[in-house]
Amino acid sequence: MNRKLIIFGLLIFLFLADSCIYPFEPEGIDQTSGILVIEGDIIAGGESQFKVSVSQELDDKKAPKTVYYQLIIENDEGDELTAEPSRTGVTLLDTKSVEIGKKYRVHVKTLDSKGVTKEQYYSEWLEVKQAPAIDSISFFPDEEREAMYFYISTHGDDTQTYYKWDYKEDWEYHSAFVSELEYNQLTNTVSSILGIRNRYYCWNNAESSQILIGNTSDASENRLIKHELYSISKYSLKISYIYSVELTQKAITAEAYNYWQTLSKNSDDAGGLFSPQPSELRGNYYNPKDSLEVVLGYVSATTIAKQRMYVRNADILFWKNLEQCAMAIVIPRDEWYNYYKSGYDVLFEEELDGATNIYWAETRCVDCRSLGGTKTKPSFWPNNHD
Amino acid sequence: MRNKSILLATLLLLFGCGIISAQPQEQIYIRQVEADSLISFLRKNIYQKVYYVKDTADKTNYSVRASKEEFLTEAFRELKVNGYSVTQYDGAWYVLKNTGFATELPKGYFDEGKSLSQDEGFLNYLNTQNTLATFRNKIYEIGEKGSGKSGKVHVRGYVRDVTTGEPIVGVSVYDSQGKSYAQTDEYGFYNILLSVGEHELGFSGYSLEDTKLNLIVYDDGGLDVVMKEKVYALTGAVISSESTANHRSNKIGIEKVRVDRIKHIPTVFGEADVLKAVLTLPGVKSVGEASSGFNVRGGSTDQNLILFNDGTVYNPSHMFGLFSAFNADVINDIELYKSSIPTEYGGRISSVLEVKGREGNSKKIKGSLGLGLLTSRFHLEGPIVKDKTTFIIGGRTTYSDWILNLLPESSGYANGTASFYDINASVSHKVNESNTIQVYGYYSHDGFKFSNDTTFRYQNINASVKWRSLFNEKNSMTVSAGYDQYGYSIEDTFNAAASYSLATLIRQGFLKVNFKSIMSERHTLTYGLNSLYYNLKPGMYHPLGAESLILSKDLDTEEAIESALFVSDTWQITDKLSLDGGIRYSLYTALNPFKYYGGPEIRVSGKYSFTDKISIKAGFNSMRQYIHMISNTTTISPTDTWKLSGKDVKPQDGWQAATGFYWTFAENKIDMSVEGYYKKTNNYLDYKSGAILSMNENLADDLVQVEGKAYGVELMLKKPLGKLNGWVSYSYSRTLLREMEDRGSATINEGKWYPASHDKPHDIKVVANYKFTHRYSISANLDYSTGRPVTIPVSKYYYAGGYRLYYSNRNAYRIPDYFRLDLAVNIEPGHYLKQLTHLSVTFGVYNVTGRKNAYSIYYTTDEGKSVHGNMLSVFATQIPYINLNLKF
Repeated sequence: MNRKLIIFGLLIFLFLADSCIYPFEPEGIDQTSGILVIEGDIIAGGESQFKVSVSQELDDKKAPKTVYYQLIIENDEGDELTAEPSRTGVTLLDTKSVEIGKKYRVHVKTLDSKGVTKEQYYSEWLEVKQAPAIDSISFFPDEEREAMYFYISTHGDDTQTYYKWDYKEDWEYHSAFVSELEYNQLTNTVSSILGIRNRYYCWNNAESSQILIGNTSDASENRLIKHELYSISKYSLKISYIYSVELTQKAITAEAYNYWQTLSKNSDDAGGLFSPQPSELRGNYYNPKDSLEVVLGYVSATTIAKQRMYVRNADILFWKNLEQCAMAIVIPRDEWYNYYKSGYDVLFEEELDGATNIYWAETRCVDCRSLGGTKTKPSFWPNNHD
Repeated sequence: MRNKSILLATLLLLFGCGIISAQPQEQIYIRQVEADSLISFLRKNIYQKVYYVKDTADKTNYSVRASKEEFLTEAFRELKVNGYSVTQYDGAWYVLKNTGFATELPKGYFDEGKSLSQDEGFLNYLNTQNTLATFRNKIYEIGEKGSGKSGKVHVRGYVRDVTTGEPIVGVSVYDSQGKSYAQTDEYGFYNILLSVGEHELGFSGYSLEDTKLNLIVYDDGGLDVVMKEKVYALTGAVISSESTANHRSNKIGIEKVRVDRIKHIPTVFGEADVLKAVLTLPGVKSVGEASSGFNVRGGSTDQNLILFNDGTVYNPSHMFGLFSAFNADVINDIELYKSSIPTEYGGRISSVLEVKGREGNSKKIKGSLGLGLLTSRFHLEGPIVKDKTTFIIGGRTTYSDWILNLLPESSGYANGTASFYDINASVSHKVNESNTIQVYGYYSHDGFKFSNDTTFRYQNINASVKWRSLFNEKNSMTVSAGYDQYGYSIEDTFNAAASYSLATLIRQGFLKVNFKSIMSERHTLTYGLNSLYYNLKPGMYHPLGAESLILSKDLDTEEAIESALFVSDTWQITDKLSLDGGIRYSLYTALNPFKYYGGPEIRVSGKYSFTDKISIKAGFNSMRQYIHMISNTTTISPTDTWKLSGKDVKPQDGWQAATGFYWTFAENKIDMSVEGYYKKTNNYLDYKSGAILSMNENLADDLVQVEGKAYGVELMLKKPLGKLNGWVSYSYSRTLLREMEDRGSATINEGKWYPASHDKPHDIKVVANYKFTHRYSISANLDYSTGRPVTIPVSKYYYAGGYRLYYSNRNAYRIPDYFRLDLAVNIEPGHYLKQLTHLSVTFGVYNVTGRKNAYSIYYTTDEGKSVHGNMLSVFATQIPYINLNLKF
């Protein structure tokens, strides 16, 4: 609610007072980097994924640096689940044995290049929370707001009151034109292609980057009905053909909820007229040797509940295509290469009065891969073309 | 005033009908008319400005016969024959009887002869009397001759506006030798101590012509004075009494701005804005243009006590700070106490802003209508019982909805509405010469609707009754009682299962009893008690609709009583040295659970005058505050709530030491002041990381207490009068905060001092007005300050599917410096037009240079996808406006 108020207040200024938001890169900031970041939750009865990296300077365009480390999950009875040391930053650990009722913590050893422990970090002790099953995921194509909204409904026993959600989404989309030809730039020729090598059907996927949390702490029962999660623009390719989302529900503590909420506010609600002051945010990791060392990240221990949903645009006819593809044009052979290099691709051939005309169009209209996806169809995809 | 001209014309017809005849050879012949009819004829038919004082004893009938060209000369000759003098001054004629040495008050000059004051000529005559040497010869006798008194006696009375009968506040009354000084209070009442004997008593006030009267004082006595607004003063000069005020008062750091001045300070949408005027004063800052709060000498926004006719206003703005909640048409002036705070005020540790309403016109119904681009307003005032009971009402509203309808549908806010209105009403009744009662009410309401599912409202309510009684020459009492309320509510029906309403409410009842006693010629005592009952509902959270699963939850009501006893003495130690010494003892009791706090507050200030043009002052003030605003935003946000001190929340306290040097030079035209201060505050509330401020039962656990220190120097040059008038001020000031408790790594800024959000060290402000003629003037307003500190991230990290920001030291970065220039052109109605209404027009441009001033610099991550810096500029371009004001 408060967020709505903030946005509304801002809009009033934007429209009544010609307020503006400009890109601005402050200079002379005393930046830091290299703060340890530990990401991941202990998934009871499943597989847990952790990532360890370090923070970067704000204008650093490179991928985050990874850390050579080893991760161990310990419980309060002295049992340990030890992962192999990881150089990629990612650790996958079988945590099927993690059970409700015991307390767990994460222990991270950073290693030097020889595998010798440099520093050791621990999380606080965690109780394992039980995530209730997802009742349903639903969507609503909202013409007024020009976006498709996704909702969750869930309920649980009276102890589960704070939720966190992640999702993985996959979508199939098509190029504007179907091309049965292919251009070979070495020989400057075009040739027919097999269906399997089409550039028409593509798939793409993404993971949630927003922080999605919700709670029933102030409700009379532990039930969420059509709680709004996220939205996709009416003009997004994601919902152009078949869209699929797999939602993961986790149960977290009130402290964790508060952490995520502050993280979200710090990242996206700063600077407005009534925005709260950004606050320094500490997670639940610490270095026992140096209590002032900042370690970023918050770990929860929870079971998870998952549900997948498909949305077919054919059923709702909501998606609106903004990618205008102009008519194809005939290009003489000696120009093919130049056109190909400047963003054109071959579309079809036409026999006319004994001559063969080769039609070309912009690559984005011909080759679906140029729009970011691949030809890799997810194994669970509900149709059978490739 | 126009109507008066019409009245005169009617009188002329009544008295002179049938006796005016034009001769064939263009001769004008007037037979057997009294002097006033003759004068009226001159005005109406010979088109002359003639001012004259009626002498009721003069029963002479005049007959004049002359050609039109010679008629005036002939008429004056007749008048002179009968003992009048005729003087030409500034294009007008002044016809006076008995211009010689006179020891008697002319009938009607003072109270008993109010009827005379309806003669416009007389009024104008009064205005210019000082420039007519002839008139200074009058001597007014106070007390019975031969009373045998010696030593000092009291002369007291009311100063009123001659046209409206309204009391004139803040008129300086002084004897010319500079021995005695008094100022009229909010009832226009003054009480000055004079020695028996001859005096020249001066009266000067804002946009009034200085008046000097010769007195022979024999005993205690009354002298009511009527004064008139300077003829050409509508463009709002600040005045010589203000320029000398620095040298009169013992207090430091007082700023007073008359509403006329406020009306000429350019604002964003052209509507006179009390709070924006406050921001033009030295030592007053805000975090940015859109913020509704203000910071006085490093204090936070909740440390200012904002009083509107005695009632506390918790949220002084409309529409997220775009407009102030005060209707300038019903306001007389504002007074800001930055350093020396009178003992009768308490409860906030930074400043007191007193917004004083006007009393209604006691002679006739008057009013005004104002039209701006986004708002309109009206006011109406007048007598209910002439000269006894008056009323004034005012209202404002907005019609900005049409602009919101321009929002794109996809914003989700196209169906939003934003509106506000406020209403003021006040009735004053003069029971008798010594007793006055005033009843006052104020209601302001803001309502917003976002999309179709969320509404947000807030409102202020004030109601009060005030009784003032003059017991005798030396003792007076003011008693006021009232009720104040502020609250907001949100209704959100976005998700049927989670629909709720959330509201908070502050209610308070107050009783204030103030006495003033003149103990001797050297001591004036002010004493009394205040009592304030708080009832605060910090959160009421309820389900909306049958489907809602929201559980009703009401946070415990907080109740407390804050009382204070105070006494202060204004002590004229010698002619040059004087002292204001006072103590206020505040007692605070939280009722639920019971907790007691209390302590003395010292208010001392002194002045040494080297001459009546040069003085120095020093002062020390300590304050306590028992109510705290709960907000983690830098500005006052509409959803801020308040919390009372109690078991877990200590009261805030603070002290300020200040000193100043004041010099009036260039023939009293320029006033210079330099003030320096050092200030310390304790127990200001800040919040732990991730604190939940709304509906939190254990809020005290999320709070941390912060100490503050502030220091600075304020330099001001003020030219109150002349074609070019206004002020220039520069201030250097710092405001630093530090967490009081050590919470290890969670301590804000590692327990080190950090700058407050309103710490803007260098600050230059210029407010200027240039009068080309009495009708046309331009106003300019310039504001430069160092950029405010903001907290920006120092690192980014990839986490939970996106980039997140890491913040470290609080307020370590500064946004670019702020600069803004506003210009306005004011066109006042002509002063002698014979029309019933006057239209004044103001048009101007806010932010003339179009500078894109940063309100904030911040980073966003676009929901984790990318990190980029932003600058939010609130008024990023020139904003032209026009404002019409119709007076009737």
